[in-house]
Order: sequence, then structure tokens, then C-alpha cells
Amino acid sequence: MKSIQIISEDIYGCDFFKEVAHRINREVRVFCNSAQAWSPKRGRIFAASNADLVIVCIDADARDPEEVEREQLKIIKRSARSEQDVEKRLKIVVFSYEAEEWIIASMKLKISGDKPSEVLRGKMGYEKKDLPKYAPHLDFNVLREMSVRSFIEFEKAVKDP
Amino acid sequence: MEIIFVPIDYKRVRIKNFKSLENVEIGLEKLNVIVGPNGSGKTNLFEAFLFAKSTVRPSIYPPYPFSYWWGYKNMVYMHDISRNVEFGVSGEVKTREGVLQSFSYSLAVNGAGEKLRIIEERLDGGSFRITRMGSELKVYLHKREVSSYEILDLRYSVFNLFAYPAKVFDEERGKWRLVLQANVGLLNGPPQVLVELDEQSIDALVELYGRLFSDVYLLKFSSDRARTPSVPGSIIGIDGYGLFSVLQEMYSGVGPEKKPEGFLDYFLDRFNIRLRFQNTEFQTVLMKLVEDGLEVEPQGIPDGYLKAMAVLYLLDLKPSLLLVDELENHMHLKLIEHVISAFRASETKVLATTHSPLVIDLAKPEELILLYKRGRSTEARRTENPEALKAELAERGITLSESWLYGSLSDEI
Repeated sequence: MKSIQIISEDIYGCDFFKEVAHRINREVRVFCNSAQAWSPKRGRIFAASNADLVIVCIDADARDPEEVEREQLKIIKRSARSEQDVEKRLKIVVFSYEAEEWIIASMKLKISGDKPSEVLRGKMGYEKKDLPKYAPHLDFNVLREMSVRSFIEFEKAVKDP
Repeated sequence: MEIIFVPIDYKRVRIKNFKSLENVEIGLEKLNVIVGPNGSGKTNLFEAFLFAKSTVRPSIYPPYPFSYWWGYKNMVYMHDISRNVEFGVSGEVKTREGVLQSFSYSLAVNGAGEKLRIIEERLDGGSFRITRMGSELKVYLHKREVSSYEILDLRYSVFNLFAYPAKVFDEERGKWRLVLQANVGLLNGPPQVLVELDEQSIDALVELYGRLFSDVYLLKFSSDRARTPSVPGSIIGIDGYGLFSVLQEMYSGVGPEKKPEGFLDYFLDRFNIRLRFQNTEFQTVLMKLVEDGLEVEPQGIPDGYLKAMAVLYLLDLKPSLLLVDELENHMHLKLIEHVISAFRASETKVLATTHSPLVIDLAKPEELILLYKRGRSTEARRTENPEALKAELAERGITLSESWLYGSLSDEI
């Protein structure tokens, strides 16, 4: 059985991504650790992990997603075993704002520039620790139809690690 | 939905002459990770809050806050009993309507001869102020003295000298009033202080008066103490004693209703743990744990699980400030990640002492409070330019803990 290591900012992200990954592909083992977005610890986790695939989840918080991806790549490469290892095992998934945008899109809510977690907080009293509860209810078809880039990349990576 | 209400935002603290803290002032962020080598004063910083809380909100009467340190001499800087120990805090208090008001509070205490004397005290809540100097206490409104008292017993803080304040509406004048009832055995003067203030200021003062330091929780966890069967109805102590009782109240339908979906519930679900309680023949409560269907006796419960449960139970009580000494003790990285994620997701401000790289690497540079020993004194500082430090560490591939242990944060002020 293939394995995936996820790196997220906190355990609520970890539990959310693990559940979504299992819904996409039941034939993988998924591990997750948390590390600050800026931290070289992310590179250490990548280098130490023997997983077939390492998915780094990162919030862009409305910054340029490509720039955020370049920053992450630099952090990972700094500690990586080799350039080839990075090319072979690393997938960086960048959220326009944050992971809650999958929930917003799945529920077909309008956010008009607001932070997704704030929209959810206002509408349903959402708290950060509620994130994993939404994983079983995400409508993947809606996310695909709406071309949510971060989800499509995550799904593709998890389907074939 | 449960309403989150954390009324006091403790923003700055100043401590003088407490153990190695000769003169330390720090600003408090949402999460504060206090790091330093052994003997640098981390636990002293933690205990300074314990001293302040046990002086202002004593759990025994008459108050004697020195017993934890076996006397005043052991808690005053350099054992110099001629010095006063001082503790000051400032911040904002929030009313239930969301109105913010700045406040500050300070006290200076001396315990020479093992006798508690509050030498100075000052509570400042906007236009309302109480000051004491020696045995003289004065109440001011808009900088104008409105009442004065002689304090008959110097062991009591202003929070004991007056009863819990009341807010009353004066129908005739159409104005709100704050009423502070003097404790006649402790104060010599008018039976009550009665001042006219706007409603929001009164609400803020009532919150402040009722909650300052009451909403500060401390945990210096001992797994042996937490594992000890406790008397039903106990509250959780600073060392974790009473954990079984408070969890029984929460999860067995005794006492307050089970909190829905709190941080502790999340932990138990995540690690697939169920709790079982048993009343012993000695009228105490012991707790067993069921993990993956297997029942584990109290002695077999992992220390880290007990520690995480104690921390998350306290977090669920929604204190304004939670202090945890030596956060990493007993806990594997998975539990540390869990607890720190909960700290960040909560409304509570947290101070955690540590010298563990595991904890430091989950922090941001701006969350670190770096302690150093200079001679016999502790000095504290924040990282000067956290964003530049992040960029530098990311560029060089150095973790925050490595920078603290071997690099630019190691021992320089």
C-alpha cells in the first residue's frame, strides 16, 4: 500500500486533509504533521519522510499563489535529499486563502473577497477546530465543476501518489 | 451555539523582585512560548502569576500567599526581605456588549517577619481609580477623590476590601451608578462608594472586579498527582490533582452538563479514547481509560494523555489566560502538536514555558519570550525583527530551535 505524508499548519488541517484523502483513495496510508508555513521544519519533514508522496498544504491568504509556491519549494529544497527527490515526491497545494475555501465552494456560498473562515464563522459560528467535521460532507463533484484548483491538484496527487 | 466570552485581555505584565525576576516587563501575545536554559527563570515567571493570583484571589483566609515558597524570604529577590515584591498588569476588559476599556492593576507586597502586608495597590479602570498607600485607601472619579478609608487589615487586596460591585439605575437622575460595598471589618470609612458613570464603564469595571486573576489558570502538571483518586466535587489543582473528579463531573452527568464539542472532546475522539469512572470505598473517584476497546487501569494511563486532558480541560473553561509550566513534559510530538493547535484555535491567551525544540519549532519567532540570566537576574526579551528572522532562517534552512540553541537567539541581548 502506498503512503502519503501531509504537512499542514495545524492538526485540524491534518485531520481534514486525511479524511478527504481517504475519501479520494482508500488504498493509501496517510500521515500528517503540522509545521509553521515559513518554517524550515517543513523541509526536515520532507527529507525524513519515506512516504511515496509528500503533500505540502499552504495558505496563500490572498497573496500570489505562484509566489507562495516558490517560497515553499525553496524551503523544502533547502533540506531535501536531492533535486530528483523533490521532483519525484513533492506536491505543493496552494490555497487562494485557506482550506476552508473547499467548504465555501462545496456549499456554493459567495465570499466576495472575504476570508472563507470568517464567512463560515459569520454564517454558522464556525471555529477552526470544526474544519475536520466538514470533510465527510464536501461535494467533490461541485468542487470539480467549479474548477477549484487546489482541490483538483490535491485529488490528482492523492489518486496516484 | 455556545458564545465565546473572554473578557480580559492581559496585554502587559511587570514583575519586580520576585525570585530571579528583579525587574522584568513583557508584552503578551496570543501564544507566548517562554524559553530559556535551566535556571534562567522560566518557572519563576510562571510562579509570579501564581503569587499574584493567590494574593489577589486567596484560596485560604486570612491570605498567606508565601506558603508555596515556604516563606517570603524564599520568593523575594536575593532573599532580601527589605524589598517589596511587585506585580503589575495592564490590558483591556471587554463587556458582554463588546465594549473595550483599558485597565491597569498593580500591587506591592512585603512579607518580612512572614507577615503579609500589601504596601501599595492601584486599580485603574478609565475614569475610575482605587489607590492604596500603606493603610490609606482612596477612590477617585475623573481624578477627583470621592471616598477615603483606613485599611484595618493590610493582608487584604481591594478585591476583598470591597464586596462584589453592583450596577444600579438611579430613576430620579436617570443615570447609572456603581456601588462598592465596604467590608466593615476591613475598612474604616463610609459604608459604600457610590459613583455615577456611563453604563459601559460600569459594566467594564464589574467584569474587571469580578474576574481579574480569577480567570487566570495555572498548570504545573504532576502525573502522580493527577493520577491520584480525588474527592468528588474537587476542582483541578495547579499540579493536576482533582483531574479525575472534574472529568467525572463533565462526562458522567454529575454536575454541569457536558460541554459540547470542546477541545477535550476533540482530543478523546481523535485518539479514540473513552473514559470510565469508579467511586472507591474511600469516597474518591478513579478513572479508567478505554482505548480501542481495551480498558486501562489508572496506573496504566499514559502520562501524556493525562497531561493533555488536564490542559484541554482547562482550555475548555475559557480562561482569559492559561499558564502551563514545562509544556512538553510527558508528551510526544503528536500530543504537543495537538495541544498547540488547540491553543491557537482557542480564544484564551497562553503562556507556556519550555526548553524543548519540539515546542519551539511549532512557534513563530514573534511568539517567543527569551529568558537569560545576567548575574543573578533574569532578563526577558522578544525577537527584535521576527519577519526578518523568519526570512533568514528559511533562507539558511535553520529551524527556530536551532537558532535558539546554537544561533543568533542563543545568548545575546
